[in-house]
Amino acid sequence: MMFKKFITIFSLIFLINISSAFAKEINIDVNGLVCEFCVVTIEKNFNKRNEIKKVRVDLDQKKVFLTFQDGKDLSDEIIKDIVVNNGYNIVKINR
Amino acid sequence: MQMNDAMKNSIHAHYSPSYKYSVGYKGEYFRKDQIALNGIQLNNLIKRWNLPASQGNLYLESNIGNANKSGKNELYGSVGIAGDFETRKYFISYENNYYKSDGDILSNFAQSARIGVAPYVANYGNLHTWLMLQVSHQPEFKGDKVITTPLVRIFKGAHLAEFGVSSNKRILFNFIARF
Repeated sequence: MMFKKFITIFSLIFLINISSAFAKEINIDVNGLVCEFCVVTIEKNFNKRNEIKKVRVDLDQKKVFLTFQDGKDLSDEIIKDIVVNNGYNIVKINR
Repeated sequence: MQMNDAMKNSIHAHYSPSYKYSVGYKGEYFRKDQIALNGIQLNNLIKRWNLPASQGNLYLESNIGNANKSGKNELYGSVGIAGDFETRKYFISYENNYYKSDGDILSNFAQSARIGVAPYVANYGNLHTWLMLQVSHQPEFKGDKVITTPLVRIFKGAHLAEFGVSSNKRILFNFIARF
């Protein structure tokens, strides 16, 4: 009984980790990423999208990292719209 | 947003449908002049410069509303230009405002500038700290015409606070929350 429980929990954790490991992540080079207080709008607006699992901003690298839900993606046009409509300029989308 | 500085207390509640403009309520109270302003404010971003390691902004600010002094009410308007330029280490800003009412309560000009430096460069998600010096010039308001205020700005995520003490011994405290 204990062994079955262990196998079930182990399998769940394994599947979650496998899923995360293969989740699609892209990064975007963005100009103007200097102030966290202003950049929070980018994070907020990407998080509104169902396709997005996680948003991470790195001011040192001047990049926005997007992790997608399994099997989901966003087109370059939508990504550009979100970044530009928040007042920033995209240099490059790295897929 | 609420602000208290050497000359006035103010409170702003703004809605930004786009990064290019915001509209909202602005209330100001000039303590020495005992003038209370309640108005609708429109801020327009005229130009933004996004560079690899810096950003610059130029804004047009305008208000229209009611000016009150000693029980007397007048329609007032104000207009001003504000600009800032910042890297992750250095900050500079300037803003001015000209206030005019349809009677004799207001016909005043005010301007202020700031320079700032970050003692450390923080990444996203960490506490950001800035040391700033604000110089305000208000030739037509009562009290000191030039006021300097050293202040500390801290922010994390969507919350920003500033604390300082001005040359005329007033506490500066500003708080901004983004929703």
